[in-house]
Amino acid sequence: MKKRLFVILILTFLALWLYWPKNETVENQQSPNVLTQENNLSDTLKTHKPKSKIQKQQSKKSFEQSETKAIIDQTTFSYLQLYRDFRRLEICPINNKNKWPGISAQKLKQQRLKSFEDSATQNNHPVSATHLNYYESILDRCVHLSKKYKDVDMAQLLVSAPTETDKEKQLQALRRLIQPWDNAWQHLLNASKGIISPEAVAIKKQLDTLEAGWREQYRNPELVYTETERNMHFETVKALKAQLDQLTGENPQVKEQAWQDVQKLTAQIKAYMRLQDPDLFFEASALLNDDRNFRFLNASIHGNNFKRENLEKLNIPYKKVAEDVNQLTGPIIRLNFLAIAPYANLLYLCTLGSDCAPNSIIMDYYCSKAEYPTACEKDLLTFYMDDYLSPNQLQDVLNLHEQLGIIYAP
Amino acid sequence: MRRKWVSISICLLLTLIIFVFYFKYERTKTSSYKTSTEIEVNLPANMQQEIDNKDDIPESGKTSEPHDLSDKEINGIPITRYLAEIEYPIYSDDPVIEVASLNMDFRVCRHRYHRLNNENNSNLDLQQLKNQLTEKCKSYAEQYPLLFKARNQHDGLLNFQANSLLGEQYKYLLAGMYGRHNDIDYNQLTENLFELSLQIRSPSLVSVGALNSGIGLSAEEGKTDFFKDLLQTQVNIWIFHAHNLALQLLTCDMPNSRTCEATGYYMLYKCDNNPEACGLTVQQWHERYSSPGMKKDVDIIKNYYREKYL
Repeated sequence: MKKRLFVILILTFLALWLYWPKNETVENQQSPNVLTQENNLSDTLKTHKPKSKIQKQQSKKSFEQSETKAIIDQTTFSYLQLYRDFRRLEICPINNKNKWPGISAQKLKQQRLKSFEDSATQNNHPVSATHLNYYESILDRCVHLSKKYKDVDMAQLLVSAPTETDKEKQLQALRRLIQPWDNAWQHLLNASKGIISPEAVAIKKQLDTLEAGWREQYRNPELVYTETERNMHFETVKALKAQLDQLTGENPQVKEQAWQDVQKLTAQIKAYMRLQDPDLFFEASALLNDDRNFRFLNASIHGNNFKRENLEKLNIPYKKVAEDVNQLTGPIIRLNFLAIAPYANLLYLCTLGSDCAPNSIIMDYYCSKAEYPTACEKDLLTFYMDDYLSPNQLQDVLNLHEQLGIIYAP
Repeated sequence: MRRKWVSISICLLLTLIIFVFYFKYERTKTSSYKTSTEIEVNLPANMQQEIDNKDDIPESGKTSEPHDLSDKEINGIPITRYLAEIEYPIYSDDPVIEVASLNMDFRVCRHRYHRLNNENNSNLDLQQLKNQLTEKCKSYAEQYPLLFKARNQHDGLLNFQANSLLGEQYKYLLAGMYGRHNDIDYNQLTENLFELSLQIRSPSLVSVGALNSGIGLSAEEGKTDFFKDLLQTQVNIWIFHAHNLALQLLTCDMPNSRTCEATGYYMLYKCDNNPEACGLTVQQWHERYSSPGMKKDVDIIKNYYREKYL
């Protein structure tokens, strides 16, 4: 009898051990003391990695540096090729931006091929063997590039890699403006909100770091917050915001100075758009539109939102490139403009010399969508004319394209 | 014997503890999932609006379709007094359609437009527009004191008796929206309401139905596909805008339409997002700010609806 009871007790404890909740320490927590928390933050929140992770990161960094060096040391290295690879990887269905722990590139490719077929079937447009072959060759190119730049921070490399031609130097100069541009805007946005004193700016920085950490969990499944961390995050943010409210105070002079700095940089970046080069035009307009993601095809049009802020509410009279163009060509309704401007913009890049033939970056972008099988064998204009835009819409697009040529004439 | 009972009691107690911990653990998992979903999802405006409407569904829903309730009361007032206010109807002889249309008109008085209500705004045109809206709402309140007062009570409409087949159908779909039955799923309900609004030919109902139809954006692929073929474009946002504009413009030509006024719901909503839209009618806005190609495609969609429904 005793023996049986003993076995039952053992089993019970085993079950308890298995099912005991792992992160139930909320009751023991106290509100964070924001004045002393800066040091504690790293231990509790994922905005700063735990020490072992920091060590790993440091060794990863030195590894990255050696990989970067290996890329630059290649005799065939070309800055322009690096830039083109960077742009192609941006539109790749498989790239180094997303973390795929434990999945080989080959397996990922098979998954992509399957979902490509599935999405076509779901939309009642079964994918043809030819289209599937094209898609597979796009994936192969992506896998090759992903491997080539596996441990390389390409954005960073574009700022520091050696250049030879004038164009490469100009491209790099433009890429080097990204950081000053971001800083100038941060300063202006802070000044507009009355975040001026060093204490207020420091708290704002902490809040930004916390937000960045919060967003990171949606990109990397390994960084998803536990309930405790989530609660801690909210409490910390709340306390910091309360502190920040106490420290804010407007100063029109500071704001005016910050606005002038932004305007100066805007003019500097805008000058690159008149150099009749497709890459410089793309980079400069993407920067001025705060849209560096090729996925949107540089189509971020005007609107109040800029750098995740509502400029109208902050009384900042900044105009994005597209808004400028819309004003110059005779304003049209925002959604209407949004449905023609990206296409006019892309055709304009073709006019400036960008590759728009089959297998180019832009055509591979369309070809990698199950619904556009014809894009794989056509150039951009033919694709737009035959399959993509309505005849009336195409007319609008071509009109705007013509106007762009006039606006950005040298 | 006693030892046996003690052992059994201990076992039962321990089993109970295991269950308690197990369920607690499961609940923790569920609630944490819920929290992260809430944070991740950023709903588009029209979707949010749909959900807001869903929130209005009474808890007690899923009752059968109300029968003749003309002797009933809304807010303690006999329904006959409400009916007296629509003795001379504007849109339809059917009380259900008339009240539903008026409720859509009253919507302009329910929302807070940030651009119009911006206290720092010294723009005279905007102030004039705001005054016009205030006047409009005042006149609604004077002309329909009871109906205007009950405008937020959406399901109050179900207390009216329809006297036409279309009215009956509209009421049935509305009852589905308010959870009185679950014969049709929510997306289908929205779609059917839009379709029925066109058959009813009430400008107010068509205008709102078009906004909620989501064609080009959130509507089922098949629905948007039809317009992709009609216009020969793959650009959803082009279809969405052209479709919306076409239907709003279609309502301008309907008898007694108020939907196209500068103080109509569509233009006030546009004004909130685009300052250049403030103070313009739908026709003026389209004429002045649509591209030539858009105008042609809007006409194609407008003609399609006109031929099919009007």
